[in-house]
Amino acid sequence: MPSIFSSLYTLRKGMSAQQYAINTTSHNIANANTEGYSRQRVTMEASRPEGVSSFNTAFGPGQMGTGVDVAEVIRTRDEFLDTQIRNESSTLERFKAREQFLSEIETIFMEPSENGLSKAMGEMWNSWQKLSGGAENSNLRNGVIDSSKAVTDMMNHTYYQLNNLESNADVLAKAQVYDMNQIIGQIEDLNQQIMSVRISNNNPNDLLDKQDLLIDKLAGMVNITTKRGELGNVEIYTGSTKIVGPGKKSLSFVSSVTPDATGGKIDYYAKGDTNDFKQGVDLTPAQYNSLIGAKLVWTDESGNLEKVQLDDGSIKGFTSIYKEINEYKDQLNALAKGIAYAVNTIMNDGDVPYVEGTDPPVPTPGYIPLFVTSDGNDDGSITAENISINRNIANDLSLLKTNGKKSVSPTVYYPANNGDRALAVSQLRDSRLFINEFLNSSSSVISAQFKGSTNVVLANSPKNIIIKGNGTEAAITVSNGDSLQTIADNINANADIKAMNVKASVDDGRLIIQSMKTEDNLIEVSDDDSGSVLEALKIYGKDSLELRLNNSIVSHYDKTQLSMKISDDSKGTTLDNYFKDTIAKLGASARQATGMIDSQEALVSQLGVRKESVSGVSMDEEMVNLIQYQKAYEAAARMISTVDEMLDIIINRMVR
Amino acid sequence: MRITNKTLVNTFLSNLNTNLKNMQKVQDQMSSGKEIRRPSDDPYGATRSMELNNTINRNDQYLKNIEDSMGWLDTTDTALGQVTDSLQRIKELMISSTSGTKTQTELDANKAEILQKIEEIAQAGNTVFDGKYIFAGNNTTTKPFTSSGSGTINYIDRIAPGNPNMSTDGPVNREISQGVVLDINVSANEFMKYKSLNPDGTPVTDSSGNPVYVNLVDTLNSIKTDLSPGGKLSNIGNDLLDQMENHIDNILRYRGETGAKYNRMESAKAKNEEETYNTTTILSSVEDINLAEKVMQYKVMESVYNSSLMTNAQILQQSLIDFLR
Repeated sequence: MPSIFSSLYTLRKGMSAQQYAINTTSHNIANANTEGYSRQRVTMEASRPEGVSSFNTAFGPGQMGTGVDVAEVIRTRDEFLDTQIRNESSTLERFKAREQFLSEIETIFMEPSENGLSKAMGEMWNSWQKLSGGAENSNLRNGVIDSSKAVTDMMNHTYYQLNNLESNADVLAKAQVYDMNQIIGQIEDLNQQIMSVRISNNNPNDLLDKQDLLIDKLAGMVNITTKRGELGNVEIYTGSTKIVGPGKKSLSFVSSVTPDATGGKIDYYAKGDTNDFKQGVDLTPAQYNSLIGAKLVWTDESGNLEKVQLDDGSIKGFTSIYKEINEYKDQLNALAKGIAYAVNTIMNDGDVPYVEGTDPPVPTPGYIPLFVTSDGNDDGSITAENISINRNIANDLSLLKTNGKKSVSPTVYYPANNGDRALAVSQLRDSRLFINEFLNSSSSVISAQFKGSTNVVLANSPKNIIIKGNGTEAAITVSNGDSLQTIADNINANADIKAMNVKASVDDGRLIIQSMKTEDNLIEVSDDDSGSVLEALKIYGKDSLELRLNNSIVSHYDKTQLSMKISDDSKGTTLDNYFKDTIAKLGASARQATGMIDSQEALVSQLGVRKESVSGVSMDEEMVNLIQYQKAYEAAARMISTVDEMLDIIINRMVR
Repeated sequence: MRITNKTLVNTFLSNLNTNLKNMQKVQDQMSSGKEIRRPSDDPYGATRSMELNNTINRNDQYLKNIEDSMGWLDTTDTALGQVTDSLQRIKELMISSTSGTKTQTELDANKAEILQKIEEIAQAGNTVFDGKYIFAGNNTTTKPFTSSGSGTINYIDRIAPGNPNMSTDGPVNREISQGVVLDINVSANEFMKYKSLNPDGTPVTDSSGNPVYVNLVDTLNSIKTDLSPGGKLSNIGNDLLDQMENHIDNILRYRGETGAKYNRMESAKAKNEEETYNTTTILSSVEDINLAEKVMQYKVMESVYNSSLMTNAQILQQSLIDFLR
C-alpha cells in the first residue's frame, strides 16, 4: 500500500513534466519564424512503477504508477527531404549565378536595339555605299571614318565591359570561396559542441538545426553529400573529395598558374582569404598540366594541391561563367579581326602588312590599313580590345582609297574619285568569310598556305619540325618532296602529339596544325634548321602566327580579278551573321538559365513546403498543445490541494 | 499534410512574386511596344529581328542609291536633250545657209547663232549634279568641257588623250539592290563622237586597224570654217549635214540608254519599297506586341494579383489565438 505522500510526489512530477512541455511549446512559438528551426516535441513516459512483484513484497492488486517522466525532447525533421533540398538548391544556385552574369552580358551587347553593334556595323557598310557614290565628297569620307570609329569604339567598350564582368566574377567567386570556408569552419565548431552534448546522452536539437542550416547554405555553393557519425558529427563530401571531417581538403582561389623550367608556379589565395596569398608555389609538370587555366584548387594541411572538379552549386556557376565570358570575348575578337582584315585587304588590294617570307618581317611599301591596333600596329594583333582607326587616314582623308582597277595586267587604277573599291568594301557584308579561323588564332591554330606545288621543296632534307605542348615535345621528319598530306599523316600518327591533343590536317592547300583542346592548350611549332623547314612549309613561328592567318584570308582574294571581291568560303559566314549567331547563343544560354531557375525554384519551394509541413511550427497546434498541457498542470495542482485536504483530515482531525 | 502559418506565408509570397514578375514583363512589353527586349526573351526572334532590321537598314541605303541615281540619270537626260536641241538648231541653220543663195551677211548671222549654240553645248556638257560634273566620269571635280567663249570648245579626253586623270570614261557604279551594280555614267567621250562607217556598214579603220571616230568638236570646227568667207559652203550641205545627223542619232542613242536605265531604276525603286514594306511587316509581327492581347493579359494578371492579395489578407490574419479568451 503506497504512502499518501507518494501521490504528492507523483503530482509534483506531473506538474514539472507539463511545465517542461509548456516550456518547449513556448520555445517553439518563440522560434516560429527562425530560419532552419525544426519544431520540438517532448516525449513523456510513465515512470518506473512501484511494486515489482517479488517474493518479499506484499501482494496487491497490481503495480502502482509513480507518475510521469520526460523521456526526451526531439526535433521533428525528415533527413531525406534535407538531402533532396540540398541537391536541388545546388542546381538552383548554379543557374542563379549564371543567370546573374548572362543577363549582364545581354545588357552589355544591347541587342536587339537601335544602339547595338549590329546596327553600327550596318551603318558602317552603308557609309561605304554612300562613299562609293560620292568619293569626291570629304563629308562622305568623314562619314566612313566616323561610322567605322563607332564600330571600333563599341567593340572596345563591349570588350572592356566583358573584362570588367570577368573581374567581377573573380571577386564574387573569391568571396564565395571565402564564405564557403567560413561556413565549413562553423560546421566544424558545431561538430565539437554536438559531440560533447551527445556524449552526455542528450539531444543537441538546436545545435543540429543550426548546423543543418549551415549545411543548406554550403549546398548552395557546392554539390555535397553528408554522412552523420555515431556521435552526431557530420562529414561532408563534394564528389569524392572530403571537405568537412578529418583529412579534409579546403577550396582555395587561384590567382595565376605559370609555367617554368621545372613544371610551373601557382599563386593562390588560401581558402579564398585575401590576406593569405600564397605566391610562387612550385608545381610538378603533372600538377602544372592538371591545374593550367584553373580558377580553383584543393589544398590540404600539408600543402598538397589538387585539381578541382565541381558538379554544381554557385561556385561552379561562377567558374562556368568565366569560360562563357571568354567565349564571347573570343568571338568579338574574331569579329574584330574579320572586319579589320577584310576591309584592310580590299583597301590594299590584297597586299599583306609584311612582305611574305621575311623574318623579321619587312613592311610592305604603300600598305595603308584602315583598321589598326590602338598603338598603330597592323601586325595581326588586332583584337576587339584594341581595334581602332588608322590616325593617318583620319588626318588625311585622301589616303582612304576608293578607286577600283581598270585593268590587272598591267595594273591600272581608275582616277581617285572612282568609287568601285568603296563599293567592294561595302559588299563585304555579303561575303562569307571563314571567321572561325580568327576565333582560334589567338591561342592554338597555326595554318599556312602552301604556295605552288603541293610537295615540299627542302634543301637540307631531311629535317624535323618540332611541336611543343603540354610540357612535352615531339619531332616530325620532313623530307624533300613530301606532300602536305604525308606530313599531316606523320603528325597524326605520332603518339606524343596525340597525347598533346594536337591534330594536323590539309585543307584547301593549307597545312593546319591545331590544338584540339580549346582551353589554354598552347602549342608551339619550330624546326631544327633555324626556320627553313617552316619557311618551306609556310608555317611561321609563333610570333608571326596571325600574319599567316591574315594570309590565308588573303588567299581568297584574287588579285587578277577586277571585281576586288573576297571570294566566299564554303565554311564561312557573313560578318553580320557571325555576330547574330553570337547573340543567338547568348540568348539561348540565358534562356536556359532563367528556365532552369524557374523550374528549380518551383521544385525547391515545393520541397520547402514539405519540409515546413514536417518541421514547421504551427501556431494553432501549439495553442492546442498549450491548453492541453495547461489543463493537465491545473489538474495536477488541483489534485495537490485534494491530497492536502486528505492530509489535513489525517493530521488535524483524525486524532484529537 | 500539416499546414503551418509559415507555409501559408511562404506560398503567398512566392505566388505574389510570380504574379508581380509576370506583370512586370507584360508592363515592360507594353511600355516599350516590343515583344523582345533581350535575346533570352526569344533567342530565335531576337536574331530574326536583328536580321530584318539589317535588311531594312540596307534597303534604305539602296533606296538612297536609287534615288540619287535617278536624279543623276534625269539630269543626264535633260543635259543631253539640251545638246540635241542645240545640234538640231545648228542643223536648221546649216540647211538655211545652203538653201538658195545667201549673202555673206546672212551667213555671218547664221554663223553667229551657231557659235552661240556651240557655247550652249559646252554649257550642257558641264552640267553639275550634287557637286559632280556628270559627264566627267570619275574625274567628277574636273570640268570636262572648255570653251573660248567664242564658239571654240573642247573636252578633256581630247586635250590629254591617254591620261586617266583627264578621262571621262570611268564607270560610275551604283549598287541598287544586293549584288546588282549598274554603271550610270554617260561620258563626254561617248556622246561627243561616233564610229565612222563605210557604206556597207563596216567600221572605217585606220592604218593600224583601229576604228576611226568622227568627233563633234571637229565637225563643229569644220562648219565654222566653211561658213566663214572663203569656206566651202557645199560641204555644209553634204558631208557636214550627214555628220550632224549621225551626231544627233548618236546622242539620241545615249538618251535612249539613259531613259532605259531610268526606267530600270524606277522598277528597282518600286521593288525596293515593296521589299521594305514586306520586311517591316514581318519585323512588326516578330518584335511588336499585340496591344489588345497584352492589355487583356495584363487585366487577367491584375485580377489574379488583386484576388490573391485579398484572400491572403483575410486568411493570414486568422489563427486560433483570435478565438481564445
